Formats: sequence, structure tokens, C-alpha cells
Amino acid sequence: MFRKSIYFAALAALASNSPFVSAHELGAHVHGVASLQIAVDANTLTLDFSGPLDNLLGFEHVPRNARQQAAVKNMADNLNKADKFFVPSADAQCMLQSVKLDSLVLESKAVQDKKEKSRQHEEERGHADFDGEFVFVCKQIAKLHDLDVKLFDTYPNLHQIKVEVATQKKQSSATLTPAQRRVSW
Amino acid sequence: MKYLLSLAVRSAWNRKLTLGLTLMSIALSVALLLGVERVRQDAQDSFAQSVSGTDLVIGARTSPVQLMLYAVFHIGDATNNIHWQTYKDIAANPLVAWTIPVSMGDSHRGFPVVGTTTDYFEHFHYGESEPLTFGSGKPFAGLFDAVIGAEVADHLGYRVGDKITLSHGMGDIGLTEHADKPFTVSGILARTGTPVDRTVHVSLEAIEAIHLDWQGGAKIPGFSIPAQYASKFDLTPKEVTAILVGLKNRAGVFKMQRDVNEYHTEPLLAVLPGVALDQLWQVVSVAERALLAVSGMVVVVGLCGLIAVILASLNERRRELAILRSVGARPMDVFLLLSAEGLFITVSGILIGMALLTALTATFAPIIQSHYGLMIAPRFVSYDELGLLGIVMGVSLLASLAPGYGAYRLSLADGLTPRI
Repeated sequence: MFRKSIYFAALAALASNSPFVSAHELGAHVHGVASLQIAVDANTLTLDFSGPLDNLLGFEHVPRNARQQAAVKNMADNLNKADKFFVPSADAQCMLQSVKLDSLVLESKAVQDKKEKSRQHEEERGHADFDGEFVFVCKQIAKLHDLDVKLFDTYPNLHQIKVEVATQKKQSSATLTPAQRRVSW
Repeated sequence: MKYLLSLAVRSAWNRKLTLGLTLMSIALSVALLLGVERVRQDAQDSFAQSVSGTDLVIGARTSPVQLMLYAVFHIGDATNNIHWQTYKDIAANPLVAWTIPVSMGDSHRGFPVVGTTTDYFEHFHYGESEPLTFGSGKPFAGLFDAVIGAEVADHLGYRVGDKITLSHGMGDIGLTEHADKPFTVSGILARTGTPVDRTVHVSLEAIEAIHLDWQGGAKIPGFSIPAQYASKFDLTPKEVTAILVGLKNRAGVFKMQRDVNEYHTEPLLAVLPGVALDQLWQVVSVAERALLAVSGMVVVVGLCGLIAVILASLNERRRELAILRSVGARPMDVFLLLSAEGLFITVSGILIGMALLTALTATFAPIIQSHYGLMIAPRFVSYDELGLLGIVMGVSLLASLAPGYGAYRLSLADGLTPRI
């Protein structure tokens, strides 16, 4: 496994001259815990939500039966309506503008086959992650001071979200749990 | 009622020594409780004020808190340095607006020396986005120029134009001196109340220059490059300890952080200073709560002392209370008399404690500031502290009921019958 990841690192390094190309880092993977990065810009609110797939699906592999397929589809449908789960301060008048979901299970069969190697890589690791980027455009960004996260009821496997916030003025961090569902800044 | 109050005061005055001592113990315990809370609050504020406008701090891979502590507060050590090429790659990243490289490891009479560029004086901000200003002099221009913080200047009595010698390593004594290459103070920064005040700033090239004739951490015996020839050498820095980064678009900070963390030629760590500080407070909060609990217990001990003194005085005051009863005081009046005494002492204790703390912080704030770089603002009481004081009052009110009840129960005959 280690040899393989070194191989991938070397490949990534060869593929480009830029030193900022990902070397396929093995990030932390703790079931039940997800991370949410909140960036507040001149008029946009960008959320980056990521964590183990298990939090949202209960399994971490390519869907193998109809039930698992339905679960994946359900997750994707849900997260495409991210404004149901991430609710910014009402006064800020934010509208969900774009959603970008990235996970092994969300790719089409063809792409999954194409990415055989990296799929094997993720499956060998026995773990797979989920990554979603949600962009909101806000009319009154000055009034944006908090965000309600309503994921805990729908996804009982999710127990904790580690939140990092970066705004024009300050940076802070917080931890959300089923008992504390709002992050303020 | 009025008579009762004047009686209570006179009776208390009669026992001024014991009550006075109890009053002192309550005042001290309240001062301790508020002091702990205040130092905690001010330490957090003071840390938060120390860096402003810096989006990322980048260094060798280590714990985020440690990186933050050594890069900004000069506390602890770096695990590794990072290559100069890495610095240039990061500075060239299109997301980056400005960078401040810092290089550490030398000191001057216990004050840390930071090698950096003049960008430091332009881009480093503290407090609510305030830039650094010069109290006198100007940024370093020559190779052996140094800019010192206000505290360094005050403590060591330096003025612009003075010569100073840097030492290799940190500490006060037993260090090798860079005596052959003295620096000239070119500027003194205005006071900021942050670690900048305790720092000596020189150029990155100067750090290279003073180590030209060094090898393996010591001066090469019998070999020395005089200061005037140092500039003939290639003084391009080879490494830096950390980089402070400002971004063009501050919301791009997470993308930049990922890019840096996945930088493949060298293991790097990028931290958001605000987030790292929050993490630090989460770690420290356990100790803080313990301290608060201990000082809370000291208050409880003080209140117990108060109750013990009043209860003990019940015995001496048997006769006094009985006479009161015999001239018409109801049991309820005696109850109020005793309870009011306890409450009155607690209230006075709290007031004296707050005054004491204000006086103490006003006296010692400058000393704490210069030794620990911690700003303690003398103020009377804050909203959070009012909550604590409310709890102290509540507990003392409950506790004062005990002697009151004791007096209430004392029968008239009990006090008037002389015992043999």
C-alpha cells in the first residue's frame, strides 16, 4: 500500500512542473467526523464539506445492489439541494448558486472503469471520502453572521463537524454536534 | 428596622478584629477569582491582537499550534526550516498578495532576533489591522542594520545609532557571540503590545552574513571574515523558518492551504492563524477550568470562614441577643440581624476585592507587559465577571441563613439564665 502511494506521488510529480500538484496525500479518515470550511468573500459564501462517505451512506465502495444505488442517488439529490442543509443568516439573502460533488460513488460507470487504478487505490485503503463544494451568492453579505447546519437528522452516522471559518475580517474555528447546530462568526 | 440596622453595625464594630480578618479573606479570595478570570481573558485578547491581516502561516510540517506559536509569538522551536526555493514558489503563487519570510534562531540578550525583509514593516499588522510604525529611525537598509521593538529599546536603553551584538542561539548567558559583526540600530518601532515589542529585526542577508564563517554550529577557529567583506559573498538566504502570507482574495485561503499542504518537494504545513489560536484555547481551556475551579474553591473556603466566625460569635452574643429579645425584638428580627451581617460582609468583601485587584493590575501591568508581553488592562468589572460575582453573592446569601436560623432558635430564657 505504501509502495503504491509512493508510486502515485512520483507519477503526479512527473506529470507536471508545478510544485503545487497534489501528491495524493492520505488525509485523516475518522468515521462520524466531517469537516466544513466556510469562506466568506465580497459577495459569495463558499462551503467546502468533506469527510468519510460512511457518514452519509453507511458504506464506502461502489454501490453493489439496487438499494445501495438508491442510497447514492438519494444522497446526491439531497446535496444538490444544499440550501436545505446549510442555511445562512436569513438577513443576508443568500441564494445557492452552484454545487460541485466529488466522490468515487458519484461517478458514472464508464468513469469508474477508467479510474480503475485510483478506485483500486481507494478501495485497497478500505475507505473512501466525499467532497462537496457549495457556493451561495448573497445580496447583503455584511449581514451574514451565522450558518445553520441541518445534516444531523438526515445522516445519523454523522456525529461531529469540525468547522473553520475565514471571512474578510477574521478567522475562527468551531465544532458542531447534534446539540450545537449553528456556527456564528 | 432602622434601630436594628444601627444596632447591627455597632455590634459588628464591637467585634471588628475577627470580622475584619474574615472580610480580608473574602476580599482576597474574590480578587483571586476575578484575577484568574481576567488574566485568562486578557491573555486570549492579547494573543488575538498579535497578528491581524495574515491569512496563512506556513512552515515545516508540525502541529498547527506549534507553528503558530513559534512563527508569531517566538515561543518554542521550529521542527525544521524550509528551503528558499519553496519560499520563492509560494511567493510566486497567483493567489498570494504578499509574503513575509522569517528566519529565527539567534538572540540578543534574551530577546529573539528575526531575520526578515522590509516587507515586514509594510505588511505585518496587529490589533484591528494597525500597521507597524516607527517611533524613531527607519527600516534596515544596510547589511548590518537592525530594527528593534519598543520593549527591547526601553529595557536595554538603546537609541538609534547604538551598536549591538547578536548571540547564536536563545538564552541569556553562555552563548557564542557574533562579536565580529556588530549591528547598528537603524530604527525603533512604536509600542504595539505584541511580541514585536520584544523582537530584534534584521535582514535575511544579515543572518547569512553573520554565519558565513561558521560551520557545524560553531565558529571555525582561526578563520574569520571581517564585516566589511561580508557583502562580497553570495548572501541569498538558503532557508527560512516560516512564512507569513497575505492573499489577494481572503476567501481563497482554504484553497491555498490545500495547495501548500500538498506541496510535493517538501512537507509543509499552512495554518490559519485565527483557527490555530482557537485550537490552542481549546487545549488550554482544560487548565483554565481547573484554575477557575481552584479559585472558586478558595472563595468557598472564605465564605465558610465567615459563617464559622458568625456561628462562633453566637455563643458570645447569647446575652446580647437575649436582651434584644427581652426589649421587644421578634425572633424574625434577630434572624435578619444575623443574616444581614453575613451578607454585608460578603458585599464589602467583594467591593474591597475588586478595588484590590484594580490597584494590583494597575501597579503590576507594566511589569507583566515587559516580562511576558501580556497586556492586562486595569478595569473595574466586566459582564462575565458580574456573573461570577452574582454566584458568590448567591452562595453567601444561602450560607448567611445558617447563623440567622441559629439565632432564631435561641430561646429567650437560654440567654438570660446565667450559667454556673
